[in-house]
Amino acid sequence: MNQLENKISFQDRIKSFFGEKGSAALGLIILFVFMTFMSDRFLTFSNLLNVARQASINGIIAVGMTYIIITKGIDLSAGALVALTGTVAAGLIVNMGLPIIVAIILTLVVGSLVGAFTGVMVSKQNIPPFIVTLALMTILRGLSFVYTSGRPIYVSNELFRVIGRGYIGPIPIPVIIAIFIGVIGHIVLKKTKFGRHIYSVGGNEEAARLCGVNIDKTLIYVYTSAGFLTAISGIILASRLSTGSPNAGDGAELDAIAAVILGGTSFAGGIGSVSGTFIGVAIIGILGNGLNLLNVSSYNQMMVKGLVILLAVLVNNIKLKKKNISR
Amino acid sequence: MDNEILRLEGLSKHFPGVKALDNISFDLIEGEIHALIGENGAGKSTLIKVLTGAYQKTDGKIFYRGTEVKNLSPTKSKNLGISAIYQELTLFPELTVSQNIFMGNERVYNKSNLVNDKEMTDEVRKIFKKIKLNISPDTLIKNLSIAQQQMIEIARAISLDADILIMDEPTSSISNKETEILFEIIEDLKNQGVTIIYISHRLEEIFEIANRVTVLRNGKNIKTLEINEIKDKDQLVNLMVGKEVTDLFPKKEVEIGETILEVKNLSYQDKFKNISFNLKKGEILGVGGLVGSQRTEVMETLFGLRKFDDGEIILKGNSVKISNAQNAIDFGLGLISEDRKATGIIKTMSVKENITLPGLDLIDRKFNVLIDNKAEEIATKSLVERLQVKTPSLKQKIDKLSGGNQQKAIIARWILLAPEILIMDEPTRGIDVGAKSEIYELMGELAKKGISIIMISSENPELLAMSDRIMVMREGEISGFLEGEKQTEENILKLAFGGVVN
Repeated sequence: MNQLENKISFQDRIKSFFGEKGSAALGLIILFVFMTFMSDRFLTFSNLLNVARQASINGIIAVGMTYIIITKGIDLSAGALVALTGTVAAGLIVNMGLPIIVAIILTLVVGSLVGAFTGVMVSKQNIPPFIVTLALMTILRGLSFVYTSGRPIYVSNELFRVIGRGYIGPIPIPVIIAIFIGVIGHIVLKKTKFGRHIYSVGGNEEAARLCGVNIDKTLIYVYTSAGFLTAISGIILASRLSTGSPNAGDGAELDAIAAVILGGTSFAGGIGSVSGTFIGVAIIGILGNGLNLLNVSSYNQMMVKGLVILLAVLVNNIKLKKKNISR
Repeated sequence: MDNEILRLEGLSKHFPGVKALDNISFDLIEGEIHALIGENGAGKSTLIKVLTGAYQKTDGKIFYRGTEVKNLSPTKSKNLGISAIYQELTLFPELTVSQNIFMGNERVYNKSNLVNDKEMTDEVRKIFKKIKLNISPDTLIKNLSIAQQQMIEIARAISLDADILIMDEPTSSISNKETEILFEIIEDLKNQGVTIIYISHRLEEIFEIANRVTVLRNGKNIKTLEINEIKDKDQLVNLMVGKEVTDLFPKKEVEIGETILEVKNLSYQDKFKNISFNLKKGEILGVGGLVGSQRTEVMETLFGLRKFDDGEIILKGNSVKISNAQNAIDFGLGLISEDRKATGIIKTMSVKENITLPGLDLIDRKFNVLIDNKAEEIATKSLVERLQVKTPSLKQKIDKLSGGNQQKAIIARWILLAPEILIMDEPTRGIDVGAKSEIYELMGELAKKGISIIMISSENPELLAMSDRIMVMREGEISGFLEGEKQTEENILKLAFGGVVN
């Protein structure tokens, strides 16, 4: 009995690895090897750190997006929230003269409140997340323009600029923050009661309700954490650019969603992982960097990115089909 | 009569590592009702899927009216007049009855793309008249009961003018009265020359309607019998399980204690009213009644899933307010729902995660937050072993298990919480004989430990064998309690149909 158990659980482990994020990992490896051969500027420490720094903002948003998509939700307002929180942070520092730490805390509160609002609309009011966040996308973007009167707010404060531009040792601070959030995000999802509840709500809401899972609370927490994480990204971006711009974060939600999908999280809910999402984030980051190194024009880059996402989903579908037939 | 319509010779279907069908030979005579029985996993569903073209056979031959059919695809199968009604409903809830019946087969104005709604609704009315169904063709499916939906499935198969109709557990979710109507329809269809393959776990039904019975076990054809060759149910059960099942309902004698639950005058709108009953420690209270008698709704109300207007719930002498499932769990209640797939299992999660979901607070945590994997595994492993849940590993996704093992895992989920009252809604629905017997035994053990069980069931033999007391409901009211010698199938039916028991 015990032997059998070990044997099969080993097989399961391989299967689950290749099932959910295996193709993403494979894709990442292929991409990596391909780029190494195509450009001698790719595999250098400074270039890879550069990729990591650029990907860190997407990575942080994508952790929250993973939670949301596991619950069968979606967040289209993330990019607009990046703009709002970036401008709010800059505004609090420049216009209000608040200390950096206070400004940051208030900005995180703003992000969390926006997330909580989304969560309440989705859970208590039962509005589909697509619609809630579509509305919020324009509202928040508009709000950022109104707040800044349409002009970027320049921040000259050195301490604030450290967040996005500084290093600890050789590693850029945003990368450290992103990795830290990724690890915490992974542990929360896999190891805590809250994480289990997230999976259960996405897997079968009614069954979860019967098991005493508080669906509304779980959803509100999920969207609140996502809002909080997006606010961190907003602050990092504003810091890196030394500017709170109402145009910032345009399309950030799409990059995050793409990373989550590439990482094997299912739109049908109940399945997904932060580790998979980080593989997706890496693919998108390296793809962008690689195409730049190969001098592909930005218009062509857009098409390539889209095709890669489509291809990834196609490969996944073919695998799923095979699995279903063999059963 | 000896007009063979379908014959299978040496049919096999292999999946990696499993012979789902192993050298099956089987023939179907035009106009007969041929019952197909066997435990879950015996190969019934696979056989149907091969016949409807959903699966391709590995080996063997299929003959239709004497000619061999090669590469049987879903379209080919449909063209041969083979049609199946599956156990799980395949209707579109947001569409109307007539849209559902003609889905994929819409009537159009001469070769245009415009659907002819009038022709379709007229046709539906005709079919409904034939099967005595009183539903407007314009009703949305979501507004129908499960039983009514089942009838719509049947109507759809009839509309296709099928020659061979496969019915997979058509009565598992409909009431006795509807079952009678269904049998009349089946009889009618038979007289019109339709051949029927009838699958059911309810052996009584087979004696009532079938001409012949084929028993499958482990993917093999064990025996095909004429109905008059069969002595009794036990003979069939023995063929199915391959071993003697002498004690299908092993009820343990349990000492019944104090009253722990009192429900007083529970009422909700026009759904149910004046529901009053009590439950004692270690008692198994059976709840009988027809589908639609609001049994499930009352128990869901007790579990905090539904609101009520009036009445009182008293637990161990204290009036309590239960407003959601978490409350109910805190008060020591557990509920196993009737629809395992829709509201029981979480199919994306493992057996282990399914079992511990409501009881996560009981599992040790590291630093008070992180679920301790070891502790979780130990807790689930001992339960899985005790309940004999057959799973290759605790990490197996629960939907890969058979229905009986899924149900045992769900029971394990609640045992982990050590409830005082366990509500079990149709605990053995869609479960094979062997697993059923294990679940009954388990219920007996739980009762012996002092857990009180409320068991809703539509299977009268189960109610009679397991219950210390039977409460029968009818149209939202309690029509009576049966105890001791009064517990007979006749009395249950009398109360369920509005009669009086003296």
